[in-house]
Amino acid sequence: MHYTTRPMRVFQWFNAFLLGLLALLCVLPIIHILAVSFSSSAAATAGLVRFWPIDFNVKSYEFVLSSGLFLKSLLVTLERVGIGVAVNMLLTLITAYPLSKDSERFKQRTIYTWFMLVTILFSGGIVPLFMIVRETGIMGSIWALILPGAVPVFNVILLLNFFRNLPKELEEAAFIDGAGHMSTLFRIFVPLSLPALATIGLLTVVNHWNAWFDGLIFMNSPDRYPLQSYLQTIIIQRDYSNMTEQDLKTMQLISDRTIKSAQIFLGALPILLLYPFLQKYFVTGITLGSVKE
Amino acid sequence: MKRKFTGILIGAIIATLSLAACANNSNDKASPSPSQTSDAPASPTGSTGGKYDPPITLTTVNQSHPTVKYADGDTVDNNPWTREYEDRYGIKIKSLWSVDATQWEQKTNLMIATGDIPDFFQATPVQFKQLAEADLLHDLSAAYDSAPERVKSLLNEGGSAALDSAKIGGKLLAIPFTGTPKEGAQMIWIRTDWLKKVNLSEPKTMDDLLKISEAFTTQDPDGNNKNDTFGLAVDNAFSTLTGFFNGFHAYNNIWIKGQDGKLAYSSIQPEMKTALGILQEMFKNKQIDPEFGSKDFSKVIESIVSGKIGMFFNSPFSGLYPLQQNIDQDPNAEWKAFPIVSNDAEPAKNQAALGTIGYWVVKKGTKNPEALFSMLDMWTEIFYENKDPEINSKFVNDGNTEIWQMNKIAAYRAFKNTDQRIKVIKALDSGDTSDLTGDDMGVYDKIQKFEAGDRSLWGWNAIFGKDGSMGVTDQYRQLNAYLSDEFITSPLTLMSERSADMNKIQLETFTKIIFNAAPIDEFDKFVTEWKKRGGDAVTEEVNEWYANR
Amino acid sequence: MKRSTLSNWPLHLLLLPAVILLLVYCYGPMFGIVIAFQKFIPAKGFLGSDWIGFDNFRYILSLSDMREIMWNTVYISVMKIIAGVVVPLTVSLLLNEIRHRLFKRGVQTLIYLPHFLSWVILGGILVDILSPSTGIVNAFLGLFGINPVYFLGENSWFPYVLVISDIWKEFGFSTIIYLAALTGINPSLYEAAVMDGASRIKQIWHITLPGIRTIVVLLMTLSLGNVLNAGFEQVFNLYSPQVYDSGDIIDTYVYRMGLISAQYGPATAIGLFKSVISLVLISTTYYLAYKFAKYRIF
Repeated sequence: MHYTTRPMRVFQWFNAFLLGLLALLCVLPIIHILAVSFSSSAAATAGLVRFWPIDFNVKSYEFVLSSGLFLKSLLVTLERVGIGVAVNMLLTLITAYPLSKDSERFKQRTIYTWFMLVTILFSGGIVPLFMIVRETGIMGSIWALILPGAVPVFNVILLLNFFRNLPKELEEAAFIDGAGHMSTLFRIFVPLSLPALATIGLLTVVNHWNAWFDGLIFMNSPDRYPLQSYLQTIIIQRDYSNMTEQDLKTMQLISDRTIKSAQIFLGALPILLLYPFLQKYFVTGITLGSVKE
Repeated sequence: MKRKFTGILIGAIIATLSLAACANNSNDKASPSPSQTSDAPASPTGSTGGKYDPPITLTTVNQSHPTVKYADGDTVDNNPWTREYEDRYGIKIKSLWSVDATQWEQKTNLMIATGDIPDFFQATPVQFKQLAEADLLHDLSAAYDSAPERVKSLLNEGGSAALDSAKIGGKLLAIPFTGTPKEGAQMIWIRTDWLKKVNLSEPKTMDDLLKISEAFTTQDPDGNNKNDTFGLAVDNAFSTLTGFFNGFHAYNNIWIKGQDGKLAYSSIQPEMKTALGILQEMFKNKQIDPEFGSKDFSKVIESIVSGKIGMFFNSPFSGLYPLQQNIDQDPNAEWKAFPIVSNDAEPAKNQAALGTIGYWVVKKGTKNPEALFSMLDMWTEIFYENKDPEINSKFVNDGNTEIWQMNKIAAYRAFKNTDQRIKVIKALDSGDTSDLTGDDMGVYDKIQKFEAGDRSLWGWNAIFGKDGSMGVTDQYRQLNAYLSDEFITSPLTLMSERSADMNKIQLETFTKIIFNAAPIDEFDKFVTEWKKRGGDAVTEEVNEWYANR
Repeated sequence: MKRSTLSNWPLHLLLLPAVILLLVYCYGPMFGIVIAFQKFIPAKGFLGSDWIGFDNFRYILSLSDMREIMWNTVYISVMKIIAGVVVPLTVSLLLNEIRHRLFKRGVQTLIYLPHFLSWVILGGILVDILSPSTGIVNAFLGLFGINPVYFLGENSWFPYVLVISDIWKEFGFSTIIYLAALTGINPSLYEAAVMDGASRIKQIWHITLPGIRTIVVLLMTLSLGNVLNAGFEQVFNLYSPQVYDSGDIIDTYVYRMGLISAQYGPATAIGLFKSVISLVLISTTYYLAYKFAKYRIF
């Protein structure tokens, strides 16, 4: 509507060019990695692959997929993401809502907020966490991957800031209409914060999807590893100077370079597809367009 | 910010801690895994006598391997190996948990910290010592005395150091998981097609080697009319220089016995200075990749495979990787392994670490510690001595999965592959394969196919063939051309505390000298600084250990 | 005053689950901080390990290169923190100006991809593209007559390589939050501004930036907690002894410290030190914002 002036049009073109260039810079390495994952071990090891596979083959993918563990671990991950994201989101909502109140209205909010913040700054390390997980009886179960991180404090703080920016009048109007806290939260706050919730949802999904360390430590058997933990185990991190016959025999077939590349795509593809889908919640102004101050 | 995003589960601090801790694993990841049997005489089976009746159950924890697939219905506690343990000896196994090898140290540390120690498991050297100090381990001395001879000779094949390292205060508190450090000693791999091109013969002395390096750099051995080749491969952790250093009677990162009978740290000796000086010269003459400082071993391999480097020091197994990749890339390429050379009249010796992969420890109060030796005996018989192809495919490898990794206790023979080559070439000469096991036959077939023109099997011939690298290893063994690391216990207190500080200046100085960013005399400053940073105190600590060993 | 009839107890109730979970799984394990004051040995456990007071801290301070390592860490992380806010913020503002929806979404998606790559892989790629002899970056600089630069081998360049490559990897992902914040700005404000004849630049300055100010301040403040985290994975995969002088950071040092045998005590002591510094920085910022602007950052 207001892009009619000439400098504005020049800016538009320049801007598009700049962002296009940035996007290209981001995508080229990925094409390269994709090409490597489909190349022969020898070509990849020699560093000959650029943006197109050399001696095209799918051996690396076969290697990763051939084990029955791939499918099992994918299911574990889906279970984890399903339950974990639901738990995280619910807790984020019900925790961020009270904390978004003014301190005049809810005096203890600041204490609560600091109580939570401290947990992202301090930690006792893996040994005591392991003991607690064991003592609470969730070792080896899917809850060991969910409960220790059930309250995503960073997201809570992010969301409470979004909540605070919502027009106060709406909330007050709701109260005057006799709505309680729960209905205010779910009828008014949630619908008005969809972009923020989509963002936090994405962070939560990505977080659960990518986590691998807790799976290796808290699950008692590789049968129960989530996908990223499983993928972590197939890259045998070799001490190159001291490789053994067995390592060498494996490496002859599939170089770890091609496998690492294949691993990235198998591990990240599902999550990459999620973002474009969520983007429809990021349309500027739609949610607040109807709110007049 | 990303750390905050991901830091929901365990905070950044834990991540650091866990990284610090889990990264240790890279050291004991090497699992020498000979899957061939040897020419050792078949001995009578079941020599350990008795079977437990009623059967006993031993608890343990399990390391899982991505290459192992269990048959339908089989599990970690019910597979060909565990069934055999039960049939033979009446030993049942119960695994408390399994974890991937990469997290072994981390998870066993957590297990130890929570106090849930199983009847037996594979501990790291550090854990072994700490468990012993906490008085949590069973004395195995008596059980060892009555152990089958076959097991004793397996544990002693590489020398007595492995067993010695498992003794504390005169008591045998663990069974060492012996590795193959001597068989893995470095040799010089040289591109022989380049050697022909520059009209040089194989190296006998360090001078020969330096001439080859120069010729490979300046005489355009790849014939592309570009000055783009290097004489010697160097990686930024110097893992490809061990054999080179050894040629100057310099040894990297080990403890050697000095003339006064005391132990001294090898990397601060004057021989090291000489070797570094030569490397600096080579760097100045462009015989070393000017970008070696940012290239780790896998990046150096890239240069080798793409035909930019014609000589490198590495293990005898390099024929399969990475050299086979170079052979695949370049139809003219040809490599051969030669023994390391000396810079004077005294023959060079290869440095050899203790090479123990871990320690099999038994919880104090376990009723049947001798059961471990029975299981180890079965391992030796099936893995090393069996000639029956059927047993081979049942317990070792059925062509589909590495069944042998389902064992619950193992140790490796020190020179298995060296012996295998001798047997295979004998059979190749005579055509008589009656003495070969199923696994030997595999190697035999591959070499025959290679000789018939299949270059994709070149690497097998380069290792096990007549001119194979295992021949060089055999030569080393006969001459006993090894200098062993005298420090064969787990790191001492001061050493653990100071090593990062001391190693840092060592790596920095060596890199700077080779890179010609510092004069060679910087080495002397380094020695002084190293001592100041704790080197003197650590040396004292090591000698105290040595005296009271 | 109907509002006052709503009491606060439901608010406490809503917070209860989070408080319990945090008490159990975050505050519970904090007893492990005692490791910082122990010579912790797993075989002896928390109760059996020796108490050594502040020896672990003294030991850390006794390390020869501690000052240099601290400086490297702070230098690199501060640059990362600043660039980590400025770049994503700028990009999201630029993206906000794009009216072509498909193009906008396409760019958004593509710049978000590198977040999912690991530094192990990127390390190898960076060595290639930054190589003085064969790398594309130096080839490009060569077009302008610039002599090849050994980016990964020179101390004068290495920290900047770390910052730029880190930003490259993460800016797209970080943009997401700013884009979400931009959607929260009331469009009627822009409409009013257009009526008043405000230029686009003025609109950005007077409407857009103030509209997302709280989120920017929040992210800035929280990222202060990372002032002693310069990015272990990245540095570990890119550094080498040549650039220890400029690239060795606390976390890589702690890693090497644990190589020979896991050093739980010193590692926990360093962790505790980092936590305290983070807490001090964040609470100071919080306090100052409250004192001078009467604004609670969170």
